[in-house]
Amino acid sequence: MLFPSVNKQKSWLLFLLFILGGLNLYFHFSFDGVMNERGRWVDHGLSLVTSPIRALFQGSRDLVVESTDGLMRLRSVDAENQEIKGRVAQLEVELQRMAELSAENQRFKTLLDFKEKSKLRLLPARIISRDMSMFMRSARIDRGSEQGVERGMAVVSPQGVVGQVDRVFEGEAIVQFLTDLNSRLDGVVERSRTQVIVGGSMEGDMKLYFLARRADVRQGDVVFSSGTGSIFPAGFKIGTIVGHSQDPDAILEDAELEPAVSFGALEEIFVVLQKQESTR
Amino acid sequence: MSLSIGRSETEKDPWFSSVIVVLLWTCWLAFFSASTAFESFRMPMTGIVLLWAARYWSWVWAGLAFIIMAWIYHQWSQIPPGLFALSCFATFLALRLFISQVEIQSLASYSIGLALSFLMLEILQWSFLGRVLPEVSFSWSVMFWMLVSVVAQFTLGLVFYGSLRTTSA
Repeated sequence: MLFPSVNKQKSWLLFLLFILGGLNLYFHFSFDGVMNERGRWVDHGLSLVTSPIRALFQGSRDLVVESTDGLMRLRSVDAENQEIKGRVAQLEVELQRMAELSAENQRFKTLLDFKEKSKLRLLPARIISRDMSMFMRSARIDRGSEQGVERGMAVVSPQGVVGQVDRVFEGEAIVQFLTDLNSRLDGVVERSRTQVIVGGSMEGDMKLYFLARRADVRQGDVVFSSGTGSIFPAGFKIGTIVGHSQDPDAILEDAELEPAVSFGALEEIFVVLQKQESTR
Repeated sequence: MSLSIGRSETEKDPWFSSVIVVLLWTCWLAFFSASTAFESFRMPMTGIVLLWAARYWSWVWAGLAFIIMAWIYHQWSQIPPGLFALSCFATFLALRLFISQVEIQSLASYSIGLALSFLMLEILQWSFLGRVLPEVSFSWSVMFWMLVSVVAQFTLGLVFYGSLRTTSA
């Protein structure tokens, strides 16, 4: 017998405890990622316990990567290159926002006093691990509450919207990608200014959900974050519409979206530190 | 061909080896999740632990162990821990049924057990998710990558058991 033998009555008692524990976990875990207090301390405790294991493998990977890089480049050049890359990425993010804001200015000529929104405070972060489930799309980053990361903060990259912070630990956080089936975001079609709801799917694609039949959307339209809601600032690129199924019998339709961000190759991201209200 | 999964039936206390299996699984999660090599499919290798559990763990202790495993897994996945634990336990029961009918001694029976374990766990998680999220439905694309994942895990699982056999021989 693998475990200490228990008599039949104790066995049933343990089984009952297991069932109660399992049901408690099952029903008290809401699917927007919020855990109740009973679960949170277990989650944080385990994060603490598994942290050295993650660090070990992350450290090993870093060692291999750094050794390879060291053969290719001098350290000083590498550091300078990294710094420039970071600055370029940050500037690309700003440039992207500027392009959208500029287009918005053109459309609303009466709002000549429209001022440029204050610069976003971006915290660079690195993806250290990815979700192990086939059905979920998320990643763990190397920035947490110690660096000012909070749950619900937007996460972007130079290419566009990445997702939002879902769980926060001391030095790490979990980012839920926009391609996750639980993600939803208000967007706006750049050409027609049609408001849309963007979300992920089980396949890891992005879709426009609940489109009205006469919604003015076309293949090739670019979708940006609208700023509606409390997560994402306006003006970040979400993706391009690549397919729009038009069913004459359907009241609401869906459309397929090509994400602006290449999630498979994503390594460096930015957490938008301030809330949306402060940027508007 | 006779195989042994790391211990003989006369071995008295496989506690240590069971803890090692769970620890190896945890290390594998840490290792694989840090990799960006396979973006389209993932290989959590939980099926190996479940086959081990079906062979050596009592159903009561397995249930408790699955809750612990679910919380460990939650460090690397957004899958709700309760859903994962229930999927594990259901797969475990199916494997117990399989083992009660087929004695796992040959490579063929190991292979069937492994394939059953990997496939059933994925399908159950998919099914349970579909019960709570309306967006989850059948998809050929997901089915394809799920099968790719199962085949990859199955292959790795055979290598794992093969290495155990070599070590224990």
